[in-house]
Amino acid sequence: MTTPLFSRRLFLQRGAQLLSVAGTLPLFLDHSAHALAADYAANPQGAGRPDRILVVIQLAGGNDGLNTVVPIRNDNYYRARPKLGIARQVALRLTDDFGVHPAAAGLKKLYDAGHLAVVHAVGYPNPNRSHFRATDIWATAEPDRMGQSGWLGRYFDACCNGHDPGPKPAPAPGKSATTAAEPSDAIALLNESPLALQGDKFLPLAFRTPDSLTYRDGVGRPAVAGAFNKLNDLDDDEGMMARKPAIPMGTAGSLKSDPVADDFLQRTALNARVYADKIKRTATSVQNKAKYPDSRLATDLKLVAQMIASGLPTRVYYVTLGGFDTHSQQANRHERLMTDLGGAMAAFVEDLKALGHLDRTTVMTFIEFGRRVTENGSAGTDHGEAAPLFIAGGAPLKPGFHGTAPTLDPATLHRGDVPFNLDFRRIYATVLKTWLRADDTKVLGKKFDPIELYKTLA
Amino acid sequence: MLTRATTATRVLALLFLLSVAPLAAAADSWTRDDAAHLLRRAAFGGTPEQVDRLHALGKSAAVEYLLGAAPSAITRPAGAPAIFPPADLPDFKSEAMPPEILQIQRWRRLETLRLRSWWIDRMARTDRPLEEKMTLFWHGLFTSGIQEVKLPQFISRQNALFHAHALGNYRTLAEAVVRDPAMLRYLNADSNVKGKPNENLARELMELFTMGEGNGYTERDIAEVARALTGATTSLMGYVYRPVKHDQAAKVIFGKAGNYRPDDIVPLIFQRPEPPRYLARRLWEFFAFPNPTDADIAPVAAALAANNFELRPALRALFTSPAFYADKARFAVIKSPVGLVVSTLRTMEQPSSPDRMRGLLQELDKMGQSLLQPPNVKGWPGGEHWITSATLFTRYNACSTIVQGGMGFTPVSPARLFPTLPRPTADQLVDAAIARYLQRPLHPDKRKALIETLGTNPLTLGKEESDRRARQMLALLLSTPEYQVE
Repeated sequence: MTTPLFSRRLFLQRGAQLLSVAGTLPLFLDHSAHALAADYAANPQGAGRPDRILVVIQLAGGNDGLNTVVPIRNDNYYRARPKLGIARQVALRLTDDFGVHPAAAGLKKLYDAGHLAVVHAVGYPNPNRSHFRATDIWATAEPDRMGQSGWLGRYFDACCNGHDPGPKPAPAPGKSATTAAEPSDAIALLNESPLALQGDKFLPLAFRTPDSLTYRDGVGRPAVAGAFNKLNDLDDDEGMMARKPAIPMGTAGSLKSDPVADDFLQRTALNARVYADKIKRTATSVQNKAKYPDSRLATDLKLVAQMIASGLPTRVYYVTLGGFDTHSQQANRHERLMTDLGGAMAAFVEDLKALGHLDRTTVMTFIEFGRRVTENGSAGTDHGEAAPLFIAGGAPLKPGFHGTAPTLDPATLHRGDVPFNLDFRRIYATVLKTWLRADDTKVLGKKFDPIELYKTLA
Repeated sequence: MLTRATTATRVLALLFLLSVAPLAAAADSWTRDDAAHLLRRAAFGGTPEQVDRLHALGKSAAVEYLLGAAPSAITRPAGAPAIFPPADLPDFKSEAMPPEILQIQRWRRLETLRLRSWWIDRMARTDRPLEEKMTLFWHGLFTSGIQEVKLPQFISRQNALFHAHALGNYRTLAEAVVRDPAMLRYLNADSNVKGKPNENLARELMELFTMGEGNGYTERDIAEVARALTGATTSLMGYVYRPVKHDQAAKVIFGKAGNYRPDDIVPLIFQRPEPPRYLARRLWEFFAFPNPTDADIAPVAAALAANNFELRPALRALFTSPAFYADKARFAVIKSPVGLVVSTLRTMEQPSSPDRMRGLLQELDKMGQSLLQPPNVKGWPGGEHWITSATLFTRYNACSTIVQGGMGFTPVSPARLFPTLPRPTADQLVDAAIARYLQRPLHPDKRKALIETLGTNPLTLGKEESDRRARQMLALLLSTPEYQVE
C-alpha cells in the first residue's frame, strides 16, 4: 500500500473527510471513506443521509416585492405606481388583499396547494442599499460588522460537534467518528462559492454542472488519471520542510512563502477531485418525476431534486436567479423573472413530492433588499428596503401569510421605502432551530425569536 | 551553456548596470527569484530567458523597463535583444453594421467577440505587458458590461480610454469616465434627470470607483451628487450634456454648497483624502497580495497624492517597496483566469491571433471572467473567488488544451520550449519544466509522479512519440494547485 500523501496534521486540523472514488485508481486509502462508499452503494437511503434538507434560492439584484406579492386593495400602492402598478383583476388572487404577479402562476399553484408560506416585509434595522454590502449582510446575518463568514457556513462549523443530532455514517472499525462537516454537506450550483455557505473552516462544493468536474486528459487513461490524483493531493508539509528540494533553481529559492493561497488551493483541489465522481454518478441515477420549464433556475433545481433523491449526504443546496435590479423598464424583465421563479419552484416542489422527499425539504428565497414604493422616471424602481420572503415545503410547513403586511401609508414609510416588520434573522433562527435542529444563538451570535413557520415537529 | 550572443548580452547588460550603478547601489538585494516574481505580477510571467534578461537590468532599471517610462527610454543597452519580442499592436477599429447582417443583435455579438478576441490576442503578444495588466485593472475598477451598454462601439471606446490611461493619471481618467458613454449607459445616467434622480452613477462613483463603501460620504451626498450629475447623458454619437435636464438648484456635497454641474464632481472628490488610499489598496490587491495593512499601501498612496495622481510614480513605489518582495508576497496571489490563460500562452510560446480565441473566451466565461462583462458593477472580487471545484477543473482543462492542442491551438513543441535538452532524462525534463512553469520547487512525491508519467523509454524531443509524452507531462504539471498561484 502506498503511503498516504496527505498530511495527517492537516487532516486533523481541517477535518477534511476523504472519499476514495471508484473508477479512478485510489492512490491513498482511507478506511472510513471506503465504509462510507460501500454504505451508499448498498443502501442509498440509509446512513449519512440527512433527515432534513434546506434549499436556498438567492434572488439577486433586489426583488420588487410589491409587484410580486401585490397589495390589490391598497390605494397607496396604486397611487405610487401609476405605470407599474398591477391591477387587481390582473394579479393572481391569493387572498382578498393580496395577489401575485400574473406571470407567477407557479407561486399561486404552490399557495393553493398549501405548500407556500409568505412572510411580509422582511428586512432589518438601518438597512443598506448597496447590492454588495446588503447581500453580504443577508449572507453573514451581521448588519453591524463586516462579517467574513456566512450564516450557513457557521452552521456547518458549529454542527456535528455535538450541536446537530443529524445522522453521520458509522465509523469504520478502528477509526473514531468524524465530527466536522464535509464540503459535500453543502452544494452551490454556481461557479463561485457563495458567502452564505462559507464558514470560518467550512467551504462548500461549488460547480455549475456535474460535467464540469473532470480532468479530460485522464478520461480512459488510468495512468494519467492516477498521476493527476497524486498531483492534486495535499502536500505532506512536514516531509517537505525536512527534505531539501531536489531541483536546482539557479539561485537560492525561498521556500518560506506564505502558504495561505497554496493551502487553500490544495484543499480545494482535493475536495473537488474526490467528490466529482460521486456527483456525476448521482446525476444519472435518479429520474425526475415532474416536467420542468426551460430556464436556468429550473434546470438547476431539477439537478438538486436528483441529488436529494439519490441519497447524497448533502444538507444544504444553493441556487440563484439574478437580474432583479430593475432600475428601468421593469415590466418586461420582472415578468420574465416571475415566470422563471414561479415555474421553477412549482416544478421542483411537485417533483420532490412525487419522489417522496418534499416533507424533508424546506425551500427558502432570499433577497438583498426590496425596491422603493414609488416608481422612478424610467418605468422602474430603485433600491428599497423590506420585501416578502417565500418558503416552500411539505407537510411540516405552516403555509399562508406570516407577519404583518406593510400599510404603505406614506407616513409610515422609511424615506419612501417599506420598513421592515420582521427581522430576517428571525427566519434564519427558525430554520436553524426548528428545521435543522441547530443552536441558532451560537450561529447568529444572539437570540432571535423564531416564528411559527412549522407545525409542531419532532 | 553560453552562446556568443548570450555573452554579448551579458557584457552589455553588465556595462549598462555599471553605468547606472548609483541607482543599483541604492536598491537592495535583487535575486533572480525577485525578477521572476516581478515578471509574474507586473507582466504575464516570463520564460527563463526573459527572467534572466530582466534580472540583468537590476531592480530599478527592471521596474523602469516595465513602466515604459518614455518611448525612447526603454532602458536596455543598445543592441541587446528586447526582453519581450517586439509586437505590432494595431488599435481596434469599430465597424459599422454591414448591410448583409439583418439582425442588430447578431452584429453586436460578432463585434463583441471581435473586440474580446482582439484584446486577448493583444495581451498574449504585447511587449508592454504592464500596460495590458493596467488596462485590465481599470476595466475591473471602472466597470461596465456590454450587455447593459449594448453598443459595442461604446465599449470599444471605453476600452481605448483604459488603454490610453493605463499608465496615465487616475483623476484624468475618472473625469473621462464620468463623460464616457459606455459608463453613463451602464449606470442609467440617461434616466438621471432634474426632479427624478437616478442614483446609480453617483453611488458607484464614490462607493466603487474613488472612495470605498461608506468612506467619507453619506447617503445624502449620493443624492446630491446624483442631482449634480443630471444633464450628463448620451446619444448614439456619444456624450451629450443636456442643460434642460440638469437640476440647477444648489447642492450640498461633502458639507459644501454649490451649483455643482457634472464636470465639478470628480474634482470635488479628488480633493478629499480617500482617493489615493482607495486606489493604492486596489492596486496593491491586484499586484501584490490581498488584505494589505495601511503600512503596506502607504508608499503607494503617498506617491499618488504627491504626484497629482500619476500612475507611474505609484507603481514604481509599489514595485520597489520591500513589502512587495517579502516572503508574504511570494506565490500569494491566485492567478485570474485571464492571467492564467495569457501567461500560459506566453510561456508555452503559442502563436496567437485574434481568429483563434473563441474557444478560449468561452473557457474564460466558465472560469468566471468574461471580458467586457464583469458579473456586476463591483467587478471581479478575485483571490479565492476564482477557485471552486468547477473552475479548478476548467482551468486545468483549458491549460491542458493550450499544451495538447485544440480550441484553435496546435500542440506545443517541447523541443522549442527546452532547446538545451534535446535528449533529456525524465528527471531532467521534469526539473526543467518545474523551473520554467512553477518557478519554485515541487513536492518530491509530486515530482516523482510526473517523472513516472514519462515512462522508461528514452526521450528524443522533436520525435512525435517523445513529444506526446512530454506534452502529457506538461499538461499534468499545469493541472496542479501549485500552478494556479503566482
